[in-house]
Amino acid sequence: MSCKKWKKKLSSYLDNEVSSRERSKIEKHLKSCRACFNQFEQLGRLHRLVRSIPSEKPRSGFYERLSERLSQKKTTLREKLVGWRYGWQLSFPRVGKIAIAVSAVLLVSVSFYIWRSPTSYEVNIKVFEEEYLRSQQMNSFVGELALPVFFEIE
Amino acid sequence: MNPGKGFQKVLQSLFVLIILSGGMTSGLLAIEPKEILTRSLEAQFGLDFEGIKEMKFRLPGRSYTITTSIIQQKPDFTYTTTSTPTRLKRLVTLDDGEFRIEHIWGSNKSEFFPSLNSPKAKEIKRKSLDLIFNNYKISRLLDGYILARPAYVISLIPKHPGNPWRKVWIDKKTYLPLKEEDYNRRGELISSSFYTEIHFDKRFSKEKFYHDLPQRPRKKDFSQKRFLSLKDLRRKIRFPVSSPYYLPLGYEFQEAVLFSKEKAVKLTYTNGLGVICLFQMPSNIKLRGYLEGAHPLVWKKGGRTFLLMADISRKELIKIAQSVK
Repeated sequence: MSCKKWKKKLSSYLDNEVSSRERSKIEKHLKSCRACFNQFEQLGRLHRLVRSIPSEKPRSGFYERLSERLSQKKTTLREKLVGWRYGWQLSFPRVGKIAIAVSAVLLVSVSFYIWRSPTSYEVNIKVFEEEYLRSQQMNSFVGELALPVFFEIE
Repeated sequence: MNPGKGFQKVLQSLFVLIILSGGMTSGLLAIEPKEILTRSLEAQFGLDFEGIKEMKFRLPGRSYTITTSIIQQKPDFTYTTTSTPTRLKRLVTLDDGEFRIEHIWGSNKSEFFPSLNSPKAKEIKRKSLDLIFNNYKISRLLDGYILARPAYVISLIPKHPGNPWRKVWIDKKTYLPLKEEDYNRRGELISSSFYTEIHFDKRFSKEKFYHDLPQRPRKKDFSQKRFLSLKDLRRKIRFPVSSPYYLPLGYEFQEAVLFSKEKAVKLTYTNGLGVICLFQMPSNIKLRGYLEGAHPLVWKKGGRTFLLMADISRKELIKIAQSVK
């Protein structure tokens, strides 16, 4: 067994949590391994130090209060939602609820309409004539465009 | 038998044979007008040159003659500047295969568009040439001369009446179109353009042309989205896009474009030469100004404004408009 595994058992040894057979094996190893013995010594000191600290007793009624709090149920998300719905039903009259729903639908529809329709703007009809000439130029035997005729100096 | 007569007969037969074989050879070697047009399209992206072009446009009540200097560097660079007349603002365009920059000389602003020399634009131009082959009667007329250079003269006459025509002079050596004449559906000349000067194989450093512009474009500066399919377009915009169920014979969908801050849509249909543009936008967008040349059909339906523009008869325009769903 490697030292790493022996060291893991040292704490249990000090707490008397090992079998007699294992105890004798650990003792045998501690006699032969200096590193593990040093570790054992350190652990022993720590063990003794902890034992020397006086223990504090909880105040009277502490255990009763603790068990009472533990017995209280936690509120789930579902319960919270049901609670909100109940609250909504209580806090608004039927007409008010319809008004809120209609307003929400209207708001969404208007936003969608504005998003879909481009804002009004003007185009000079000459742009289309230019485009017509550009399409002609896509053909094989059309020379330079008549575009300059659109750029008369005023 | 007279040996002199026999020799004469042999000579006659030889002469006939030479004439016949010459005619057959020249017939075999004669280049087809379709082939000339195909080579001409490729030449528009495969030449280095510098030239000056004069363009005449006729609008009701007035006409314009615009002089433009053009620099083309293969495979995808074009730089043009208009110089006259003085009553027009000078327009500079630079197309470098990725962006097309349009700039009014002296102003601080430039507009950026997708390139018309990009692989996608070339693909569309090739498709439109195929449509020309389907929808036009292509004939080779008597050869001509432009700037003392021999040129093929090709006429494109619509198979289905009521569509625009075109006549083009193509340089025999380089296949570059040196002159074009455009006729409307009634056969009236509406515009013509021809080189008054041209120098081939001139190479330039492209970088110096950017100095004429106030700024270089970044991808986010694009004011227009081009080359969209109808499916892509419907995914990008907020309002429903309608398309016509009726189109005149020979017309096919060419491209969808989002413009005017992505608030308007243009659907383009072509027969290779003629173009039908259906514009649509939400009806809260107001139109102002007036048009000089085109007479579009404008109507409102289902919360949208539609505008239809094409060089076809009014009757056909109404038929298309009625089929828009």
